[in-house]
Amino acid sequence: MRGTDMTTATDSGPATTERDHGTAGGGPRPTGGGTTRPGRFRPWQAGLRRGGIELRHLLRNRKELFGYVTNIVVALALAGYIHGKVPGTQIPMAHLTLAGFAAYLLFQIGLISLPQILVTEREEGTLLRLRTTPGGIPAYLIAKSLLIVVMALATLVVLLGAAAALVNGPLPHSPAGWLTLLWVTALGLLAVVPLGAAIGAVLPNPREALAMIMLPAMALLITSGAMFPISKMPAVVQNIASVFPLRWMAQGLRAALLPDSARAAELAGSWQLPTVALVLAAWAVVGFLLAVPLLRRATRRESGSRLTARQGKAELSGTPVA
Amino acid sequence: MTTTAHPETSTMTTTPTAPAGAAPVVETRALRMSYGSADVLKGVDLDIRRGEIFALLGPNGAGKTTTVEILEGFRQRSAGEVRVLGTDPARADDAWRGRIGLVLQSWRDHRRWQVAELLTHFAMYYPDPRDPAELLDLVGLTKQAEKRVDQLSGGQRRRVDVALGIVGRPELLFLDEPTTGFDPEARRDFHDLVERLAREEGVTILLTTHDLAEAERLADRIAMLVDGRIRACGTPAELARRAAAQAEVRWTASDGSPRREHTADPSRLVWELHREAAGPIADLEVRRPTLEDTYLHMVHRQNWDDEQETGFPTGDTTGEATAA
Repeated sequence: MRGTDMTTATDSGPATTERDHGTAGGGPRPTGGGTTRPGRFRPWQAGLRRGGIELRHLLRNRKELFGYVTNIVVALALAGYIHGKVPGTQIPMAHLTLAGFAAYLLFQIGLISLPQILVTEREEGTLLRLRTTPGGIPAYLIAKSLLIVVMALATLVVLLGAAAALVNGPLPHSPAGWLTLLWVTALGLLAVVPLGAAIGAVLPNPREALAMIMLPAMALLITSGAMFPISKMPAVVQNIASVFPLRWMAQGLRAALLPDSARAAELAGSWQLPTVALVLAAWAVVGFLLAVPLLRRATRRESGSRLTARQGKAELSGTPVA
Repeated sequence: MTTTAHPETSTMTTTPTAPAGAAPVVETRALRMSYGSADVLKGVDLDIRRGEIFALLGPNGAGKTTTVEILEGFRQRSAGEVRVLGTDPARADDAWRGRIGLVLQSWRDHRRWQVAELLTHFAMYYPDPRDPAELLDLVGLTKQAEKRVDQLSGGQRRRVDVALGIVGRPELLFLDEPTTGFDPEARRDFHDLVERLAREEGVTILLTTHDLAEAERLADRIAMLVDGRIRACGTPAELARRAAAQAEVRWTASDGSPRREHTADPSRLVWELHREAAGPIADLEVRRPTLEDTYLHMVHRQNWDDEQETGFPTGDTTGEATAA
């Protein structure tokens, strides 16, 4: 906006007011730099590009990256520290813990990281910006899906790879085991990601959001048999934990990662893979049914004045905005 | 629906000065908004013509934000007709979205993105975007192209918002308090840019501001929204003339006391004073009413048209029940 530039940067569009915005590629198009591609806008294209850029930003952000790496390091340290066998089996306890941690980290990406990202971006106005952009919301959702899937896969690969290399961690023993790892991971993500999106759509702000999700997540981590056999929990706790996806994600990953002899430590004495699939699929359905209207509502509610009001409130309460 | 005669608006806003056949870019008729039992908008009529810079002024709580957000398609109205670029914003689609641009006060998004990266990305979403490099030049951020958004100063950040607002070559641009926190130079540059967009590219601009000088400097026409109604609408000069309608003449009398008189005909008064004094008059000053006078006059005028508080339905309050 320097006054001297004002007269120089004329663009090629002659009849700006008469252009037909509805048709693709109709008007004159700036050719400089090749930075904008002609052609019809496709949300998935913009979404993938956006997801790629967000991943790059994540990789450049040391603080945030450090947070994710810390989770993995803690899991590895714990696995290195834990000794003994899973009761009634010859399986190292550390393997059960690692499988449980793998499940928990997926669970955490979907139900803690994702809601936090959504709430933060809602608060900063990213969601509003995309709402005011044609095709912005589909692109946003595609970008977030890409981000979450890559984060989840990277976490699993690093955790299981490093565990296998450093602390003699578990890896699937057979092609069937790898297949189980794949579908449990996929279905597990489908169970928690839409749910996380729904939570992110309703939680008030990033600060309160974290507090509100962390506690239940921790409780589930302890009670779901992710850290030690669920059979050690009282029956009531077992039943409650069994409603939530984490127990079944952990059990599914144990089925993938541990030998069949480890079934002895399971509640039912078997891996119950059909039940794992059913419960996770049910959560996926519930998550989608909740997420779609809640996200739609959250986006629709966004407006400039709401953004201002929230930020004003955040400043009043003395916490810096995001 | 009853068409209530608004003494103010009927004379000013609906003057048929728009070229025949050119539909207004923004058109509202009897626009009403209620939150519960509170009426925020009590029948707003607006016509904004293509290519004009239109300023909406008014005190906080007068309904400015509500009006603008209804026009932007962010809020459902309770009653009345609204057309923005020929479409009801409550039923707007992506094609319509692509034809409007928004610059809001409180955006703090995309902080990690590099400026050029951000503009290039958002250019993707529009059928006929501006070239990002030209856009950077246009808003004066060429030097900051590689910087991250969170490393910019407040004024630079706002320029990014402006750039994002116009990347899709909007026909209608909403500017919400655009120069809050700008230093005088940045403000002048911004005004130049806004004028350029309107004069050279025919972009219609709806500006909301508290800065009366800004409105006077930029706007072709100004509407004053007070207590849910348009109290006055016209060119800055028209508004100033209409307001107090009387000029103020100040001078120092022969006994040394300061004097002040309001008159519709300051020239005659000054002439009479000169005749009485048979010579020069000390400290003579003629003050024409300013936009500020008009504004304050409108805002403080009580019971302006209470007689109009009649028979409108409260409307189907489909909007959120939270007033801004």
